[in-house]
Amino acid sequence: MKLKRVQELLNARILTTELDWEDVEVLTACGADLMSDVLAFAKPKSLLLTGLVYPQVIRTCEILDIKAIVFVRGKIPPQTIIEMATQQKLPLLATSLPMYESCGSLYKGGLGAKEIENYE
Amino acid sequence: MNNDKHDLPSLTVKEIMITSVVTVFPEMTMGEAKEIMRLKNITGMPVIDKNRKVIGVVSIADVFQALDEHKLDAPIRERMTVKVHSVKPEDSISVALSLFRRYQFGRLPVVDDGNTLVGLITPKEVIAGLAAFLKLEEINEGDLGTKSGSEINRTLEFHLQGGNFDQAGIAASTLKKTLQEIGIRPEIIRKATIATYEAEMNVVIHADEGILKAVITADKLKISVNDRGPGIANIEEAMQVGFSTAPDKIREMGFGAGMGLPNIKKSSDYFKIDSLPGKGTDLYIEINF
Repeated sequence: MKLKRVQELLNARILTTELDWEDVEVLTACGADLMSDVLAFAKPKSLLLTGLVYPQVIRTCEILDIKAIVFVRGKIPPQTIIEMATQQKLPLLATSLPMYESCGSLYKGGLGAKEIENYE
Repeated sequence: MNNDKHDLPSLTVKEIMITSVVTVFPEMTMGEAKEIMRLKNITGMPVIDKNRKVIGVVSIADVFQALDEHKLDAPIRERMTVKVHSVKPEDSISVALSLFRRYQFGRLPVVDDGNTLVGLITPKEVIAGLAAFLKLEEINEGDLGTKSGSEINRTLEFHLQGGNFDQAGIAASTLKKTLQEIGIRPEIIRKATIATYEAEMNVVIHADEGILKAVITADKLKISVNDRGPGIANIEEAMQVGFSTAPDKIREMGFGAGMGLPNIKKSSDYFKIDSLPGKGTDLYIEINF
């Protein structure tokens, strides 16, 4: 799914305005507030949905080859984190939707459904 | 290596140390430290004051970190490692050897009773001293860890400080870039960086300080992490998914969920952990290419 579609589904706002983000492709998503769980379970080329706004989130994405982040529940990271992500060419989006609704909307929209079928 | 007690040669540090030591002052910048290391082809230097008293050590890992944070203009004083381990000239070579083994330091300043710098030793001097004692005519430089020829053999070393969360992840991302340059398969890189990141976080969360060393050979990656800290009282318990002793502050950052060690084990082909409560923890893993 293209990030543009993610943005529409979640009525999200782009935070890293300097980056080309609309055509970035994500294959599935991972919703978590525990970076340890992300490290254990996230798949490459994923979208991360989280409510955490610490620099560790950006580092974790760099390490795992995560393509973009959506901050849920209206959380906005500080400017330093937005700059850090811009440097890493990691698009950041923000939505006021809570985690459950955000994941549900993306899943209903078709993101990651196929992969989960294969997984089971 | 076996654990039999052999009498180490009665050599002292004084007999093997380098006396013309490259040093820097705390007011100099990290950029200057970088230039000196490059020109002198060294990986670290003692930081001394006007009276030649050792007040810190600046290593290439500190330079990398400064570079990463665009802080090469910062004075060395702000970026150096202040908890310095040192040896005395009259110490036996075994004291130095155990410090090198325990912490995998690249160098140890030699100081007198007043903490004045009198020399420096690196593992190379220790090996040369031992070789001379054992009457080995020549030690091939290649045996000291830098094999040449078609075999890849690179070593990356990082000094980790407890509580320094901004730094956590630098070893993992540097290693990732290095492995990408070499052309290692992405799924192997993923395992290596996950294990390294979790190991770094463990030191930053729990320990006072530690050394993470990654050795890349032709067929595998070997990572050792040696820290000085509280250690782990019950390793079996610590290996269980969900077991954690991390404080709430850490959990707020999304760590401390009790996944670290199981995650490292899952990512590695060989896993070994030893810990001495009150002293520290030694982790060693291998990931096959």
